[in-house]
Amino acid sequence: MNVLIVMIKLTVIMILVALSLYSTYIYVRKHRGIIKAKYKFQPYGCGEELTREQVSVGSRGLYWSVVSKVFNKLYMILREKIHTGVLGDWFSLMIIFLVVIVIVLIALSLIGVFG
Amino acid sequence: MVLNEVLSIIVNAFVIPGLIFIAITTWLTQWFYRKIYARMQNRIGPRFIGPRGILQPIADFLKLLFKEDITTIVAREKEPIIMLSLAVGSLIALLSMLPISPYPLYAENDIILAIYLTLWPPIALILLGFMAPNPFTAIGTSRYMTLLIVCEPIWLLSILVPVVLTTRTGIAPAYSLFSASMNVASLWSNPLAVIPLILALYSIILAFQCKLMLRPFDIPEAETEIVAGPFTEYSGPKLAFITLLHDVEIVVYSLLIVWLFLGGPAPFTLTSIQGILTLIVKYLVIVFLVTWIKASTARLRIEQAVVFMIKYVLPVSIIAIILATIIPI
Repeated sequence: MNVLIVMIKLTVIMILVALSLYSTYIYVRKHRGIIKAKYKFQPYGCGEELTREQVSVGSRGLYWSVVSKVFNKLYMILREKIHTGVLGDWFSLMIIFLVVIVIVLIALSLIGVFG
Repeated sequence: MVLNEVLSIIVNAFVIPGLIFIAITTWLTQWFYRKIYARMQNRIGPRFIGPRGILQPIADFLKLLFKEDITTIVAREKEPIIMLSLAVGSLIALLSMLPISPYPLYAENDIILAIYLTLWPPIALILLGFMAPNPFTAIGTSRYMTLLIVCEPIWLLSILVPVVLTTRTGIAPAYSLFSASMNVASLWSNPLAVIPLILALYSIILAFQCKLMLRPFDIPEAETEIVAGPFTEYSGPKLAFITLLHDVEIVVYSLLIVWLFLGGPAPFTLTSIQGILTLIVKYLVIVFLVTWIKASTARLRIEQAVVFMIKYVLPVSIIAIILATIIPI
């Protein structure tokens, strides 16, 4: 069988299952009302009231927490080297990074990883 | 011809390994691991609903399903259910690629599709965290993404090991989940092939534990610390769907490990009684092992978990894939 045909069939299976589960949810929702109460719809804050601004978290805390927490030394080095305010510093490190990727890809193709 | 194709899709989606099969397996598996998890903690576990509490998972699911569906003023209403439904659909589609399906779907290089399908549940859970903003959900989602950064490469490399080994024996179709599952049992008689298989099995079980946020990797939803992590704002039917996805993940990944590493019903065939019993026993052993690790470990901190995976699991999976590519078969 062609891999594209398999992909289409798998997608159809996935969507059929998803549709049946979603319609179950819609059915349940339709037959179950909601008793309206003020605090029920507020974000949970362990007893504290949260504003709309407080519930969202900055991208630095969300995406960079792994680097800053786990690879703290690397994070500090990168911050000092890249975050100097000089565009040339950032640009040269990006070039080095790109060169490393190209070398790795050439090495992988030479050992026959890509067939 | 077309009718046969439509029938195969309907059977795969709704019967075996579709919704009916997955509902029954998920129900029994949840009862099994809750029962043994309770025994390991010197508790009785599910007891009152049905004989020996066997109907407790169904009762819990229905109770949540028919509760009020509360969405906070800053959260998305229906999108979480769409993502959760698609994630369950992706796992059933993944099962359709295994020999457990009466109409298995396979092709050359289909392992890429299998890996793509296993990525749906983590993506759904990450989006779920973003769809109900809250400081606790943000912390939980951030931790979950952190864990995934280390556990996904391990998961990928471990899955590739049996696939590469079976492909190197010359079995067609190459790089296929189906052909690897059908032929991996013969590799266990080759002493050289056993080494990468054992290393990959060790890696995939820990990656499984990490991917499903089971202890010691339950850091994203750390109870008593960050409420329930990405799921803090979810209750009622949405929480029912979250638990459903979690249990379906346990079933599907356990079956994947049983087929891809332990050869499914080998040394018997799936059409014989002995074969079915062997498959069930292997499946229960994997579920038992996962529950045992969960019951006997304490929660790690996020940096401890990441360092543990980088130091003790990632190198093992890298060695396994290198050995799988170079050892003579």
